[in-house]
Amino acid sequence: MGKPASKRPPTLFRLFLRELRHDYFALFGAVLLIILLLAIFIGAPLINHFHDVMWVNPTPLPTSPADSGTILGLDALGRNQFHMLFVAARNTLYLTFAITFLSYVLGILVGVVSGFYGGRIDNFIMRVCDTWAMVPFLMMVIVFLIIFGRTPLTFITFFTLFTWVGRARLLRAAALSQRQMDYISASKTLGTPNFTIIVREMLPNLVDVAVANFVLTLAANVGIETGLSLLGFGLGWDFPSLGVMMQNATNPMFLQHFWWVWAPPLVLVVVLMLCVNFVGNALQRVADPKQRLV
Amino acid sequence: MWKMIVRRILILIPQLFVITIVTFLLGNAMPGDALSGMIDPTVTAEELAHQRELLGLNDPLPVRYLDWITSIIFEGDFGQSFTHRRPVLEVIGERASTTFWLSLMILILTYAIAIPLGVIAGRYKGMVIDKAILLYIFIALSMPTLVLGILNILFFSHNLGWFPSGGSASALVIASGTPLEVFLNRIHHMILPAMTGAILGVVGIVFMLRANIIDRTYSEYVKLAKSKGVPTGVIFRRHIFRNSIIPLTAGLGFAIVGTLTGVLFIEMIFFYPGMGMLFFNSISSQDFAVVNTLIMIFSALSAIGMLISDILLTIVDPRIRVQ
Repeated sequence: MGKPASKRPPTLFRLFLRELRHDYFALFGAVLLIILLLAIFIGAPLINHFHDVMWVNPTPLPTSPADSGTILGLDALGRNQFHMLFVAARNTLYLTFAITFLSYVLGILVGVVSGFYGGRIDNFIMRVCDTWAMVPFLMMVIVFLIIFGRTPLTFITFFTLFTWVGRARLLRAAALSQRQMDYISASKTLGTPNFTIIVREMLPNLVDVAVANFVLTLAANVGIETGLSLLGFGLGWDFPSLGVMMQNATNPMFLQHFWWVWAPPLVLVVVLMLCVNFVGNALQRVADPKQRLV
Repeated sequence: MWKMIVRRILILIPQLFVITIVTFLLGNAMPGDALSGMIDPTVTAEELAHQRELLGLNDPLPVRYLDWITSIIFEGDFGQSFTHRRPVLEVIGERASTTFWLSLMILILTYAIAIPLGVIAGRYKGMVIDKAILLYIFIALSMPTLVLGILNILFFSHNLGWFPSGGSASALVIASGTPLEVFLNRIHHMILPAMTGAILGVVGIVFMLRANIIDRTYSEYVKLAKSKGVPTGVIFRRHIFRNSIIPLTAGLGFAIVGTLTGVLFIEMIFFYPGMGMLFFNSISSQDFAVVNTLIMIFSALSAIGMLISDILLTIVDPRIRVQ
């Protein structure tokens, strides 16, 4: 005799939908985000299929939308900005998702082990994390990229290497509070192996916190990628990302007279991050019942 | 409390030690060495090799580390800058005060903007003004520092012409102006970069203050004060506001760390000649002695920031002292 389905606790997704009904910002963000993601991930492969986005035809100055007969004009290298925007947005999202995901894998691993075992192991791991957190990670990433070359792979590697600490701390705090709960002690008394407890009993209870924070971190990472690439210390010209496209804005003449070579990626970044933040904030409220609107 | 603070400072020592090892290894991975700064056409390769041997640059790694760290601790010698051809510390010292004043300005503006916003949002929770403030916070959260910097330059500098688009003071004023004029000119140059940092830095503080105020509003002692008939204004000032503002002090350390990261980017986009711009320029010219030292300085600064946070937290929150 199982319980009737309606008595099961609502899933994170259902709670999220319930939260959306009370938070118009989040609802707006979620809808716009879905539209944008669909457009980017369907549009980019299509554009790549029909056009060579990186095909260059240098001109002295960027060509305006009206003169070139394209939607967002051409840049000084003669590349179609509208097409590039899709590909760049997709690249940025791939890259930041990879970074966020990998730093979570590391963070969950370290954080949960630290929080679950506690005591001396926890103490040691946390001291290491504290030390690692003191290192100015942006500077380190920049230096490592200079030494090892600026490719998407090195970017992901070093970025992950220097950002997992925050995730580990968060997960450790969450694991520490779970550890003291009765269901863990009960399971330990029954003789369940620690590994089984961590994976099958503790982790499912940490998912809510992790998912909410994941989304917010994703937004922050988009911002950092944009910043680094914009200054020319992130990715190079051969890998179009939103930040790389915005490098045009560092040229005062382009900034003043050729809006189409820097404004579209700028607006897209802000809108994307805004949507992701709205959604992430709603998720965070769902994960922490005290903050819920409903 | 003192025991806690002393212990916290003692932990700092091995941490700083580890950081020196990391930066040392990093310095080894970078091209160039202590003698790169002296290379010019008059020096022969043999002389350089001889100098290298004399300086012990061919020794094994641990020996070199010991040499390096002792000269830093006892002589304050961080090496030679290869582009500036002067000791690294001298080059950085010139820029440090610029960064310091800019960071201080950002911090002051951040708190000056964040505290009223947080208080208003918390007090009028759910009303239009709260929603408007939250919307601003979300936009600030979604705005990369450089993006806002670029927009500020475009509107306030290029289009309106209110502020200069870069630099920390104009050379003409420094050369011929009175001290007051120079001071005002520096402030004028500082406003735009400082506002950029502050507008974005407020996010965490407003969120925290708002949550604190809402939390206190529903607390038992506020209910008691209400039932005693204390006027709403007095309840808000004495019971809610004071208790909400205290935890903020502990956030100061994190604000310092955050500001330092932001300043790095802000200086670069506004061509503000501080340590951040020096960092990017040194990276571009591969002047790794400077880069290395800057990384150490920023690590030490963020360590101090966190230390301040922890100490303030123990002062503010007696519960932590017991442990």
